[in-house]
Amino acid sequence: MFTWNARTGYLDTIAERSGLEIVGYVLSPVVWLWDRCAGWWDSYLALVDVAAENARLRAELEQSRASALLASEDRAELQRLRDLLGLEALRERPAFAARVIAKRFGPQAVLKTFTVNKGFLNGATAGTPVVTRTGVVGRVLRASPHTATVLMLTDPGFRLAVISNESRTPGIITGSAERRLEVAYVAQNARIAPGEMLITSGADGSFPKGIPVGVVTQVMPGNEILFLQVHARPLVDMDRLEEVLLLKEKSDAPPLLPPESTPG
Amino acid sequence: MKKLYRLFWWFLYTTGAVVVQQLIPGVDALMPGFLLALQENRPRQLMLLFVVFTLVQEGAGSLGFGTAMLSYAGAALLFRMSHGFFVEDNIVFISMLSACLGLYHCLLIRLMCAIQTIPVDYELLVKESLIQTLAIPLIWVPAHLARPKNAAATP
Repeated sequence: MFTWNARTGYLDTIAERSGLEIVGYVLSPVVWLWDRCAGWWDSYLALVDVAAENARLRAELEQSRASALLASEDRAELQRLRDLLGLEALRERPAFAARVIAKRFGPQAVLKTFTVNKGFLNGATAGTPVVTRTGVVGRVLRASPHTATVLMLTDPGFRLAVISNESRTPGIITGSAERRLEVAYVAQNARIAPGEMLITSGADGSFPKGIPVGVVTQVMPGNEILFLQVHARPLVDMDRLEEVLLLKEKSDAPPLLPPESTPG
Repeated sequence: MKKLYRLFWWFLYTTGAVVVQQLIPGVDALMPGFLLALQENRPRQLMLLFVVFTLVQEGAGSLGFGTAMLSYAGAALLFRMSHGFFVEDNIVFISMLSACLGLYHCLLIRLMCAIQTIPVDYELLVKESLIQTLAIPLIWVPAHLARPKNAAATP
């Protein structure tokens, strides 16, 4: 039965479309209720502590003004990076938001996954790119009508074609058992350096080009003669994910971000 | 009417177990319910729960189909092999069974990952198997107490 299912995938499909859907139907209202309760509680606490909060915020504002003056150089650099990357992919590809409703759900969640409240009826099919405004999160692994499981970028089984944004060094990024990312197949003579940003190269066809993925943290001579050993850290904090964006295939649907107005 | 109540009870249990699984990653909160169904020995109820629980775990998990089925089938086999020696609705029996199920979970996941060539984080697997061992009696006790007294099948 296992080999028959591995060949045809019928049982996997049945389980996805029933079991995953049941989980979605149960957890979506629970998460919705939790969000409302958390929001109400926050508002209540804010009301109770409003005077103290005001004083603290005023002090913080003064401090922030001073920091903002000092950080003008950083702001300029950030603007340059934003111009460079621009998350153009979000303008080119229609995207829709999804709420994370569970992380590594159940005893068989061996892979680093999370569950979202959008399924194939919303456009989340296997392989759909999942991102946030900060960078790549992963891709959809399996989907039921209204729920989907997303494989995280940090899973050792995840593969994505990337390119560094300064030296234009190509490589394949993978997750690892630790929290870091590894960049495979980087040529020994590549000029990649720690601190360089890694962006999607678009070579794999599913992720559009130019989405930030991670920052190079370490470059070492590899055990093999041909390739360097490159480590990186993801830009997205995978432990604090609440909402994500799923990128649809190009279509006539309006994009999430309006196209920037062209001068003249 | 009793049938409808039983069905409603299992609906509530499954909903609660799914929420527990969301709160504690890697735990099978449906397993204590399956053990309760084994104790009650109603073949149709047991078969229905086996199918539903298997579909939930297989559908939401990230391994190929078969792991949850083997997990519940193994639990049933362990239960049948050992229930003749112990009082089956006793917490000591359930604790011993859950220890065996924790070990079985560890071995099963390792086997299924090897078949599907998926790298395993052994430290996390052992940790979650231990949590599973502790979770089964902790969920089983309130579920057992909340079960209607006449739920067991008459011999």
